[in-house]
Amino acid sequence: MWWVSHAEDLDRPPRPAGVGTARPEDLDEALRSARNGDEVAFRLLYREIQPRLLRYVRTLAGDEAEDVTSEAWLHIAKDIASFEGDIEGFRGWTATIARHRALDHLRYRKRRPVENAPVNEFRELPAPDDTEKTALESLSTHAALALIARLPPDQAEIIVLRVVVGLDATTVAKVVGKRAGAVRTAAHRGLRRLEHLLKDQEPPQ
Amino acid sequence: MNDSRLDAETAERMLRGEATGSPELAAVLAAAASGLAADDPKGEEAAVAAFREASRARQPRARRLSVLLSLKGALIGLLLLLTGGVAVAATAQHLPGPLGHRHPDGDRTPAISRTYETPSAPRASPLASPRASSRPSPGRNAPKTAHPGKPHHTKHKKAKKPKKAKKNKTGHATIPVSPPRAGPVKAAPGLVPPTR
Repeated sequence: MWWVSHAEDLDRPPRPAGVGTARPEDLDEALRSARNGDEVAFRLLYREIQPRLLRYVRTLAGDEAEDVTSEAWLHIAKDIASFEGDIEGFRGWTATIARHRALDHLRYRKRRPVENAPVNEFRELPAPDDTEKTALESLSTHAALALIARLPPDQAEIIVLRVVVGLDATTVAKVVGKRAGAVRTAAHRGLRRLEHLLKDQEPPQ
Repeated sequence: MNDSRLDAETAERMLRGEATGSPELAAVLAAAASGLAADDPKGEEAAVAAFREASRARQPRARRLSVLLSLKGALIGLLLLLTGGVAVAATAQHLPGPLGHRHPDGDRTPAISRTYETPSAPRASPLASPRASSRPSPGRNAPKTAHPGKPHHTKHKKAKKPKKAKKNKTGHATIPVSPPRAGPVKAAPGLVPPTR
């Protein structure tokens, strides 16, 4: 299955700060136990994965993110026993489920008269002057995500999947239904755009 | 765009979480991924409840299936027992009918050759202890129909012998030894009518 991790990613360097609060071996073990019905192990996985999923889904579904991830977890809880793969594959699998739920929500909302128009809550967050020019050393998570959310949606999504959810390019490609090369290009462009935003320059096209 | 020094390789390394490239950009990425602590007990409990329910739902299904399978095994065993009984009766008594018309020393069909292992089974009539005696069932059914609570006494062992004998006899075309009458004859009246 596609979420089985790829050999090329085995030598990945450690995750960014905040990513990987639990060791991958422990999470692999937890995943095995949870598949056999171990509730404690399932909780561990939830606590590891849910905060990342929530941040990711916010880039897609804004203030509906919590509803979306709740639904996603019902699905995950039901199907985890039949999941095959390691913890990296599991991250990809859960992200895919959450993404589908988010897109369902967006589709549903489109059919209704638009009242709560903003799809992305970060887009209505403080203007760039308030965020980027404040001292970077005290840059909050919120501000960082708000900045990323100013990127074109596909670039923002890919960067959050890579940096926050902690997926490699190959897995991201499968989650968003693109080729790995396209994912790398979009992420690269997104980072360059972010650099320009930080320097308060006109972002590149 | 051209003034950006961020090349593809550096971008990839930054995305993997390495502290490289522009410090400002690295700070943004690190901040985006920081403070990842689950803080929604309600959501967690809902997910765990769903997980618990799913685990519970899976187990009974497996149990139900095994019950169904053992029932099926028992049914097959019973069927074989009954058909075996007919065959016993047919050879033992030379009853009129499709089986009874055949000459015992003529070309033998499996149905007939199958019969003499049953008469050689324990003296107890099939009616008296149907499980222990004549069962021409294949080995596959044996474990399922053999009820676990059943003590392994000598009768049971005797019942197993004929099975081995069966294999030998069905393989070679041996002339049937006239089976012991006492048991099967007694059994016939009881077993034959229901299947006809």
